[in-house]
Amino acid sequence: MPDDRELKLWFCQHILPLEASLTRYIRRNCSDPDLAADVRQDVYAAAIDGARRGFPDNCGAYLHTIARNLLINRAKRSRLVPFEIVASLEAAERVDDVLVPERQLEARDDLRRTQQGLDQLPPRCREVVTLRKIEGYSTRETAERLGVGIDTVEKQLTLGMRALVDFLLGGSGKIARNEGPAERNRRQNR
Amino acid sequence: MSAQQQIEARAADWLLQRTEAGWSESKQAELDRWLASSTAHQAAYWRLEHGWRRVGSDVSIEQDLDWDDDWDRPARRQRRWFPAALAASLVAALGAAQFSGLSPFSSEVAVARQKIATARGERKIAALADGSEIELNTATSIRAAIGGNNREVWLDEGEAYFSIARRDGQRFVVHVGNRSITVLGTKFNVRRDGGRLILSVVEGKVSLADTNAGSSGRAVVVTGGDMAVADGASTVVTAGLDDKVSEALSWRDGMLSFDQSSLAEAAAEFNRYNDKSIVITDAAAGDIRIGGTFKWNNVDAFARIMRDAYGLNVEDDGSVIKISSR
Repeated sequence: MPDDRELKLWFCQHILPLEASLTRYIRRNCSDPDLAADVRQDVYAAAIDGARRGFPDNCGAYLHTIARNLLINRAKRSRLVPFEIVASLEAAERVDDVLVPERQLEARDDLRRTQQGLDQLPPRCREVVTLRKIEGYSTRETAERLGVGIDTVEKQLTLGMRALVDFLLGGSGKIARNEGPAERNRRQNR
Repeated sequence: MSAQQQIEARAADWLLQRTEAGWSESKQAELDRWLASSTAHQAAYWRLEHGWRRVGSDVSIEQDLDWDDDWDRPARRQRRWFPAALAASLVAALGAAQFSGLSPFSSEVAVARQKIATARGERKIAALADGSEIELNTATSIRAAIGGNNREVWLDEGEAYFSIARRDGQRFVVHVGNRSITVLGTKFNVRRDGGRLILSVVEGKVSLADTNAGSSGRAVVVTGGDMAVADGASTVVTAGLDDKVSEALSWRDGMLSFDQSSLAEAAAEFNRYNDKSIVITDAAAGDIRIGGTFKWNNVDAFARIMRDAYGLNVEDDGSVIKISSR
């Protein structure tokens, strides 16, 4: 039985490279694509728990099965889901449902992709991440240099970290909005 | 915020806190508890940690060498190097006006070459252009070439303690005869003793490769608390030797530390540091096991203890100390 350290290594080396592929699959088969990130994290947790009994041979197939089951359960629980989604999930898988690692997202590209990811961040967030993470200044120094509070640095850094990690793993790299579907619906209905 | 988003925000917060100055054992315990309490926490934290580590990095050996929880720990003391092209575009992106008077990126192109040596009984600390430090023990000679995209040092003879500054994934290579030691940013001691190499790693991880082994370059990873002895084509790594590692570093405090060493070995150690040499004249005396810590320049005191505590016969003619069992 793998310990947590082995699980972590396995998760980072074999599961995370599938993230872009997994996210696409979820977005295609989820009634609300904005929930894709939440579903993805559920899939990850289930994948790790499953691997505690031993690592699967084929991680792409393993992750696909977990994602499909989660999506089916989710769809069946929700009365609003169009029938086609459940039907297509339960149907034989399509060629583009196969989860594969992103070849172009290898570590040697990280530098270039960091640059691209940084470019997408709002200016203040980009400044904070650059000074704190890339340049190695402390949070206090970063705050002093930018003339902002430590709270602001910490907040921007957290947002920037989440967006950059998302981007490096093949996502859009957008800052996570601090709202769920409820708030969004309210906003849209205004 | 959805529950998953809240977990991710919390994970990001942990990850950042961990690199701050106030991080303590109790906070680490709190983090460990948080991780252990839910697989969703682990998934979010591992994912962010992995991705954040890759931000701004340009080599993949981090995955092999620095799969450590401390990868992200303070880079504060040293401004890090960042490849010039990226640095330039980042500066442009940040806006030059805001950062006038601040020169955040050192894009050194010139290679700084240094040759540093110590005489017998001398110690010296050499500061390298990249912020790393090398402490040279007695009778040691090194050459360093730092700059451009390379950080290389040759340990031609003797012993040195390396404190290597992290430079955003840029590797640091120490050549010792037909071996090479590759690190990203760690602390370790290397002793060259004829054809033998003794590597003691204080923290982090280093990769030790036999450069004669062809392009496949069989490499072993030696982590903090481990020692490796390479001799000829063989390399032996022993883990969990924290005491031995700190013993190997005692020279930095001007001390020689022995634990169950033979008197012959101890004498050889003293002779590395002092012009006044110790000669053991018979095997029975040479085989006596001794332990303890001695100032390396106080060879007279050592000889006195051998006489008083072990009842050995000691003759001192001013330049040579002869020790015998009769």
